[in-house]
This record gives sequence, C-alpha cells and structure tokens, in this order.
Amino acid sequence: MNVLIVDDEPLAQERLAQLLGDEGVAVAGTAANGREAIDQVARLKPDLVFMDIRMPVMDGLEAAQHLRLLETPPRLIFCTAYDQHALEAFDASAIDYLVKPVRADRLREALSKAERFTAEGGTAQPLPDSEQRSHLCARVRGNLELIPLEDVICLHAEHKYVTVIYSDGEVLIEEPLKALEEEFADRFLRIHRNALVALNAIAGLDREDGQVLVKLHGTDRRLEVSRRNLPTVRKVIKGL
Amino acid sequence: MSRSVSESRKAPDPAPGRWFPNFCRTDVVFSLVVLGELVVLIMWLAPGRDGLSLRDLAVSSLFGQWLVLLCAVALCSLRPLLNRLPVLKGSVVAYLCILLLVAGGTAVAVSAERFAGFQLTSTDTSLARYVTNSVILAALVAAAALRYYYIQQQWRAGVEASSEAQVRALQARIRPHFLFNSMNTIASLIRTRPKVAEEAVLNLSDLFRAALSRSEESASLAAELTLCRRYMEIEQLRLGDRLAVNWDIDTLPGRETLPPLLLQPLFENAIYHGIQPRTEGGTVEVTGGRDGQRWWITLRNPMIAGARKPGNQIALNNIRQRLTHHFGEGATLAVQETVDQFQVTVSVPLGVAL
Repeated sequence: MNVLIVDDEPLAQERLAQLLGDEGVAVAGTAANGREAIDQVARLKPDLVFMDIRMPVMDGLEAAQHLRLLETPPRLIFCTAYDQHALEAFDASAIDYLVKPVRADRLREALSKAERFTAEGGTAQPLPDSEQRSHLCARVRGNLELIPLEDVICLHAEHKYVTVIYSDGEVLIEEPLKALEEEFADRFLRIHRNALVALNAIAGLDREDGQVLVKLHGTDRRLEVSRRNLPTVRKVIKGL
Repeated sequence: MSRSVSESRKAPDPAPGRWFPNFCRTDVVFSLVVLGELVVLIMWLAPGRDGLSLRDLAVSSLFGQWLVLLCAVALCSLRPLLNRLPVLKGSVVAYLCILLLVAGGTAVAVSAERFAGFQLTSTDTSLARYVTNSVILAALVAAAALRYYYIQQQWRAGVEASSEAQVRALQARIRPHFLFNSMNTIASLIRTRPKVAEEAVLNLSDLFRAALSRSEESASLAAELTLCRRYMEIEQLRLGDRLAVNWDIDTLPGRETLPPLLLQPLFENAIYHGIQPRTEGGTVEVTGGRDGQRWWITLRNPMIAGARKPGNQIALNNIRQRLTHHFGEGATLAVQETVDQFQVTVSVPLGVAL
C-alpha cells in the first residue's frame, strides 16, 4: 500500500511515519497542507491518505472534498488532535478517523479497514457548518486543478457547467451557480441569471445598445447585467 | 486587485457593551430607594427647620420616591442604548436624562398636588423654585450615585472576568488542541530525541501547574515571562522552522507582580492567529521595558492579510478586564493592526497591584 501523510507539523508527520514503519507500511510522501496534498496525490497516486484537519492555506476537510472529484480518489483517514465533532459531520468520504497521539493498535485497525474498502468517487460534498472553501476545484484531464478563490474574477453558467474565469485563464466546473452564490455570498455578486462577479474585480458599468455591462479587472470580458439585478448591482457598486 | 486597507486604532474602553449599571435589577432598585430615603431623611433632619413634623417627612418621602422610581425606570429602559455609547458620553447622557426627569417629575407632582388642593406644599414657594431646588439636589446626588454604581459594575465585571479566566484555564487558555498536539509532539520525540522530549514534558508540566492553580494571586513578572518562554519552546518544537521568536525584554522589572497567565494568552494568540495559518510561518517579536513609571511589553506578529478571527478579540477583552481588575484604570492593552501585521501592547504602572 502506497501512503501519503498530510500534516503541517513536521514532528507529527515523523511520528505517523514511524508508526506506519512499525506496521511495515512504506510512506510514499508527505504534504504540509491541503493544497500540497492535492498536488502530491496527482504526483504519487497514493492508495491511502492520512489527513490532518487544521492546516494553513487549505484545511483537511476541504482537501477531502476536492479529492472526491477524482475518478478514483485515494482512500482517506482523518487524523486530528481535537476535531472529532467536525469529522462526525463529514465522515461520509473517510474510512476512519484517528485522534492524535495515535495508538498503534488503533492505527492497525484503520489500516485493515482501508484494505477492505475502496473509496468511490462522487460529487463534492459540502463542508460542515457552512464553512467556505478557499479554492474552487476543476477536473482537467483526470487531474484536479485548484483555483484560489481570490483569483476568481467571475463565474458564468452555460448548460450544466459553470465557467470559472480567473486571473490565469478559464476552467469548467460542475457545480450549480446557485450553490456557489450561497456559499460565497460575501465575495460574489449576482448580476444575471447566469453570472456572478467577484466584488473586488468590479471596475465599473458600461452602457451599450440598451444593455448594461459590468467591466472587470483582469479580463476584457464584459458581462451583461439583467434588468432584474440592475438596482441591486447599482447599489452594491455605489457602496464599494 | 485587492484593496489594501491600513488600519490602526486604539483599543476601546474596557468591556464595551456592558459598562452601564443594570437599573432593572431588584437589588439595584432597592438600593436606589434606600438612597432616596436617606437624602430625604438628611433634608428632614437638617437644622434650620422649625420642628420635625412627621407629616413633612411623609410628604417628602412620597415625593422623593416618585422621582427615584421615575429615574430607575428610565435608566432601566435606556440601558441597551447607553451601553452602545462610550463610557464618558453615555454617563453624560444618563446624567442629563436624570436632571430632565427630576425637573419634569417635580413640575408634574407639584402642579398635580396644587390642582387637587391637598395643600401639602407651601403656596409661598413658586413652582419654578421647587423645580430648581430639586434639580440642584438631584445634580449633586445623581453624580455621586452614578459614579458609585459605575464602580460597582466595574468591580462585578472584574470578578466575573477573573473567575471565568479560571474556569477557562484548561479550555481556552491552554487549548485542547495545544494539549493534544503537544502530547503528539512528545510521543514523536521520545523515540528519536528523548532528551528534548523530557524537556517538553517539563515545560508542559509548568504550564499546566500554572493553569490549574486556583489562585488569582499575583506572581512575579519574571515568573510569568519564564512561563511564556516555556510555552513558546513547546510551540517551537511543534512548528519547527516556521516559528522564530525574538526576545528583547531584558530591562523589564522582573519583581513587579501580576496575575498568573496574564501575558501567556498574548503569545498563544500570536501563534494561533498569526504564525500557524501561514505556510511560511514568521517571527514573533517580543519587546518590553520600563518607561518612566510604567512597564510595558509588546508582541508583534505577521498575519494573513484580511484574516481576522473573533476568537482573538475574546481573549484580548478577557485580558483587558483582568488588567483593570488587578491594576485599576491605569493599566492598558492597546492593539495596532495593519493588513498583515498585528501588534499588542500591555502597559502597567509600576507597583500598583490592587
């Protein structure tokens, strides 16, 4: 079995590696936060990931949520000092969770569970307690591409996909615009049935052929404001 | 793309939002009634009056209690509003409100009585004279009373804060996360570096001994700083190269006293809200010294831009209340915040522990 350890504390990584070594399990690699974990999963294709919860940049719960988008996501065991409650709300995609310091017999139990189970890919599962993700995640040719939320300029819905337009390009994600609007209510503004724009990307309004368009920093695209959303959009822009 | 906002502000008054005494409480209203009666009695006994008539006493009492209860009702219902104002502004508003009520209350009572023709008040004195007299009297009594109730309120808040601090000693002061992560660190070190593991166990024991001690009695500043160093040593093990600490506190007067674990939460805040959320970590700068008749200590740490957590504020308010409780109004906690820097300074007058 191929194992990845994700923890922001070097000594915590070291201890888990020691314990796994005692069980004859080799550690393929380590990562110090959720974002690195996703990169390492793409690179090392581990069968099993030990994931800490509280980490900088991207926490373990969010990383788990993104990993589920993979066709064959690695099996997941959460490992935490004191977050059981958060885990109970989010245990669907994990095989097991361990509390730190981890006991050897408890680890053995988790490993044998991991051998029996094969995780299934699925749709993203919302985070507990209405927490916001720090990244959006797209599946590009079987790999996951992460877009930091602060880089997102606007979200544009077409058919069943949403195009994420961000500072380095565009990707398609498979999430309803409505859910995105609710999750990131403080960051994006609905301007049309099919579009959300990032508040900090708004550069102003243009009028053209009877249409009102939003100008955006970081892209030449201008997006149409619907008649219905125009009063709110005006009010928000005034308040910026 | 993101706008940069630079913000630097002085810390607000201690315990904003609940400084105004609660005039809705029965015990407070009762003490007001007693106070009102006392003033009436003093007036009644005051020399210069011809004979002590019980009828006069009864009339004055009735009149006095009418005014006292009127003010109590008004201050009780105004409390949520007053609590939102800063202490000085709110006190002035409350004071003016009392004077206005007394003027109005007197005018209403005297006119009503004259209209009914009970002949309780002497008709030689004009209505205006009655009103002026009671307003002057109320101005003196209300000033003293407001100050008294304010101090009592502060004292109560101080007691609550310090007992809360004890209850939270294990939960918030030393967070469960900290305990279990430290245990995990030690478990990891035991195999590879038993000497360091031993040191960590000793440090952790010292911290818990302080956190579990039930006394709020003063410890020396030197002892408190040692505890802070022990705490930072444990965090250093946990965070590795991500944490650097610069100490420049040699001129702090170590024999000054302060309640135990007053400063440690500042270090914990710097770690949990400053260093830990950053992948690259950062440096906590600790400076301190004497400045005239005060000693001060400042902690500065980097922050992820825009990431402010409410937990930080709770801890700071708690420290602020404990400071006021132990050193009176002279001790301060000031926060200076920019987008990516957080700085907190505690400054305490020399030798004034209450």
